[in-house]
This record gives sequence, structure tokens and C-alpha cells, in this order.
Amino acid sequence: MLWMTWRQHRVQILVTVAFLAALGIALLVHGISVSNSLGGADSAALARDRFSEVSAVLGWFPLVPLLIGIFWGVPVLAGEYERATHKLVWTQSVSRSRWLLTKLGGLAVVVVLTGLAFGAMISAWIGVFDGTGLTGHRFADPGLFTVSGVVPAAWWLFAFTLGVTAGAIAQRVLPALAVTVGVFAVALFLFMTNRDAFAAPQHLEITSAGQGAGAETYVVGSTWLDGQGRAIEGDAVDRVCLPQGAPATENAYHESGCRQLVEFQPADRYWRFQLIEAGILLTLTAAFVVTTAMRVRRRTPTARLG
Amino acid sequence: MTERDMLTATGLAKRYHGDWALRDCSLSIPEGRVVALVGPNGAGKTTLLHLAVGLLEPTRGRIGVLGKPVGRALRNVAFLAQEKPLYPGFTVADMLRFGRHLNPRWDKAFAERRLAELGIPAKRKTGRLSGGQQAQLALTLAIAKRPQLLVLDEPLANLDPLARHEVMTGLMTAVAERELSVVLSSHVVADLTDTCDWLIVLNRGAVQVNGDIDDLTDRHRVLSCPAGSVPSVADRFTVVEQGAAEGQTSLLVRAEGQAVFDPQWPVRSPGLEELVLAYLRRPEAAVLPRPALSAATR
Repeated sequence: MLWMTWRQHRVQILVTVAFLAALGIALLVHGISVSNSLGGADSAALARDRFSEVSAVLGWFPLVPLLIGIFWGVPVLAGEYERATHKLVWTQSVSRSRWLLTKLGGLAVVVVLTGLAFGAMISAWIGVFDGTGLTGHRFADPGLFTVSGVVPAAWWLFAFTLGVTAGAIAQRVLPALAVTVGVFAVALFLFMTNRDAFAAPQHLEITSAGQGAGAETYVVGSTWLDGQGRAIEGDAVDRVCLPQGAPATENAYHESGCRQLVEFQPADRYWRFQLIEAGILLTLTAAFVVTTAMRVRRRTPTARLG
Repeated sequence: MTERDMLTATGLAKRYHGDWALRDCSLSIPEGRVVALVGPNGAGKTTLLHLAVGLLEPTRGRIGVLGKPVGRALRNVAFLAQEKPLYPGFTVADMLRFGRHLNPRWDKAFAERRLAELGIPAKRKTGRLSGGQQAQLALTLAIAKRPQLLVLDEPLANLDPLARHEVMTGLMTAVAERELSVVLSSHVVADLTDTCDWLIVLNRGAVQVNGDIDDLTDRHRVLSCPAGSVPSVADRFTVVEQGAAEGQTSLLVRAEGQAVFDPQWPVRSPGLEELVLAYLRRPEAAVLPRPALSAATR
């Protein structure tokens, strides 16, 4: 059965491994070149440029799991149903449950390992910028959070089982693809926009320039309060807090008695958030697996009768 | 070989989306038979075969093969689906490896020898084989599993006449060598005339005829008589089919035991196809296990 899994999915596995190797080499080369060039006079500006030239590309990488769902997940069942090969493979001596267990189990192990490698490589690349104040982006940037740490493995597994389940239900490749893309897009959007709610944010009142939540933190929101502690609408800050004709320096706001209330997630919550997100995704994954197992164990009706 | 049934069904019924594909189907076929399952398209043949190999679960009733519930007989049953499914990206050698990995009693030597005899190259992708070669490869996989029961759904559909002949010959050779029980379905009765010894006629989801073919033909007669004599025949026998030609009425009747007719009437045994067609035209008539409705007139 393991041979069968490998034989049927070796193209996907090899392409994924090749992609990871290429990504690893690219990040390694870039990382080495960055660490050699840092430490000079314009270090901060240089680091920011070099960081953004790669992070702009990495910003698209949260979509990588979708490819796993489409190319790894969907064919597992929809491909069998569409070519009627389920009638061949489910009438061999191996029970249907064992077939599903080996296939899902074997592929899931590879998906998790490659997903972990993907996250580890990106985390290592971000680590090159330690001390530049840029590493906080792995937490604050929704895209980088999704592709660093352990969360990528959970996303890959989630997308894989999503594709499998869509195939188990639709029994055709094309509708299964559509469902996979739709559900994945919604899930990714919801996580990227609501992640800050995983834990109640901490609050900080900034009463003078130079105070701050820290470079590595994930700033969730900020509000200006006037001298009486009333919140100021965004546009009105200059009118309320800047004395007539005064230059708009950072201190000028505070000198008029205005304070800034900052809501933030401290940097050390990065791993807690990673585990919360992975936990939610793995729960959904488990639900997908149960649904698939039930669909497969129930002797599936065929489209044509004779 | 012990006496047991290759296939037993009790009150078997299957419903899809509110329609009954199979209704109240009870059957029992002794082991060692080559069973022809015939019926028009949509009669429920595929449904019955899928139930027999566990691809479907009954809505009601029970089905067993080789004296066991379907799920526990999987090792001893091989199935060739109508589509003759193969993995298109696999080579012929990969398909044999597939068979070996998924079946503990896999007959490697047989499979390789048979494909060599058929001239099917091991390195060719299955998607590039001809329709006849694909059917032969699928049949080889099924036989090399060393089943006791071989279930074939329309094995000859979509094949040219030469390939039909070759597939049938290959099948019959395997049956003779291995003492297999076989069920094969077809909507073309002529395909099955020489090869099968048991007949099941399925019509609109119900079993209409079930029995040994020789026995069935023995128990039916085709005769011609004057139209006026029809009622007297219908009194004594079940008239399955009635047709008029040149002032004479031709009847296909069920005549148990020693049936004696007027010596002036031409009487003969029906052919298999004739018998099947007669029953298919009269869905309300049935031979075993149900009592037949006797109908003298149309």
C-alpha cells in the first residue's frame, strides 16, 4: 500500500521537495549576503531594503498550501472516482479502511514534514535580521506569520485534508477544486484578519515621544486621547493636540496633554499564537478526516447504473 | 468442494435518490456455476453486482458470497467493473505490482505469462493500450488475484468482435483451469449463449428468471397451434408469450414435467435468447422462486 501511495503521488512529492530545495537555496544565499553586508554605517536602512525585497515575495506564500490542497489533496479521492479506479482498488484484498489509512497517513506525514521544513527555513531567514528590529514582522505581518514557525505545517495539512474531503464529497475533480479554493480562501482571510483576537491585547499609554511598545511587538491598534481622556477621531488629532502654528514634532502632541493609547500583543506571545492557530487548523483537519472516513466507509453510490 | 452458494440474496433492495434500483431480490446460486445476468439497460444489473462485491451497501435485505457476508469475502472475490478501470499513468508492469502489493495470494507467474501470450508489453502505459488490451489486462488482474468467485460487469461492452471473442476465450480458459464461479452481466444475450450454465433475468429491479439454463429450456416449449386452441393450452400451462403468424398462433409456454400437446402442432425447445426476450416482454411473468401469474389473454 505504501508503494501504491508513492507510485500515485510521486510527482507531487518530488515537485514539492524540489520547490523546497530551491526556496532553501535562495533564502540561504540571500541570508548569507545580508549578514555579510550588515554592520556598516547605513545598516538600518540597508537591512530594511534587503528585508522587503524578499518579504514582498514571501507575502504571497500563504497561498502555497492551496497548491498542496489542489495537487495533493483533491486527486486522492476525486481522481479515483472520476476514473472509476475506486472500483478497482476497493475490490482488492486490502480493506477500504486500510487503504484510506495508509494513503492519508503516508501523505500526511510527508505534508507535515515538508510544511515544517518550509516554516523552519523562513524562520531561519527572518533570524538573519535579529537585532535590526525587523524580526517583529514575523508576528505583526499577517503574511509572514502564516509562513513562519510551525503554522505552515498546520496550514499544509489543513489544505491537504480539505482537498481530500472535497473530493470525497464532490466525487469529481473540478467541483472539488472549486470547493477547495473557496473554502481555503475564506479560511485564510478569516485567520489573517482575526488573528489578533487570539488573546486580549495589552495596553500602553504613551505620554512622551520615545516611549513605545517595542520593535518586536504586534501593535493591534492605537487611539489618541485628549487632556480630559476623551478619544479623538483620527482626523482631528492635529487640530486638538497641536497648538496653533506649532511644528508637528512628536513631542508637540504630548506637550499639549494628549496621550496615545496603544493596544499590542507582546513579542513573547508569538509562539502562543502559533500554537493557537495550529490547534484550530488541526481541529478542522480532524473534522475533515472524520468526514472523509465516513464517506469512504459508507459504500459509495456510483453515478451510473445498469 | 463443499456445497455452498456462490451468491445468496434475501429480500435485497437498493434505493438511490428515492428510486428503487433493486427491489425485494431473493436468489441463491450454487458454487461452480457460470452465471449469465441479463436484463435491459437500467434493470439493476450493475447495482446487484456492486452489492455483491461490497462497493454498495443494501438499503434492505442481505447479500452474501461464498457463504460469508460480502465484506469478509473480499479476498476470494475479484471484480471487473464495466469501465475496466486501470490507472492511466501506470505501466502494465506497475499494474501487476499493484496487484501483488494489494493481494496476498497474487499469482505473479500466471499474470506475466498471460500478458506475454497476449503480446501486451510490460513497459507500455495502460492509457496507450487498445481497448481490447485494457480489457485483457483488467481481466488478468482479476484472475491473478486467485479468486473463488469472479464478478464481471459487462466485460464485453465497447469491444470489437475480435476482442470480444478473445476476452471470452481467455475467461473460459481460466474458468476451466481454476474451477472458478463466475457471474457476468450483459445486455446482449448472444454473447453468453455458449459460455454460461445458469441464467438470471433482471427486469426493472426485480428477478424474473433464475435457474439452470438446461433446466429452463427443458421446462419451456415453443409451439404453433390454431388460434381456437389457445384457451385450452392456457388452461393447462402458463403462456409466457403469444404471437400470431399465418393463421396460427405461436406460444411460448412453461410446461412442467411430461407435457403432451396435440401431435399435429409443431413443438420445440426455445433458444436462450428467445426465452429471455419472451420474459423481458412480460415483466409480470416470472420463473422461480416466485409463483407465476397465469395469463391466458393479453
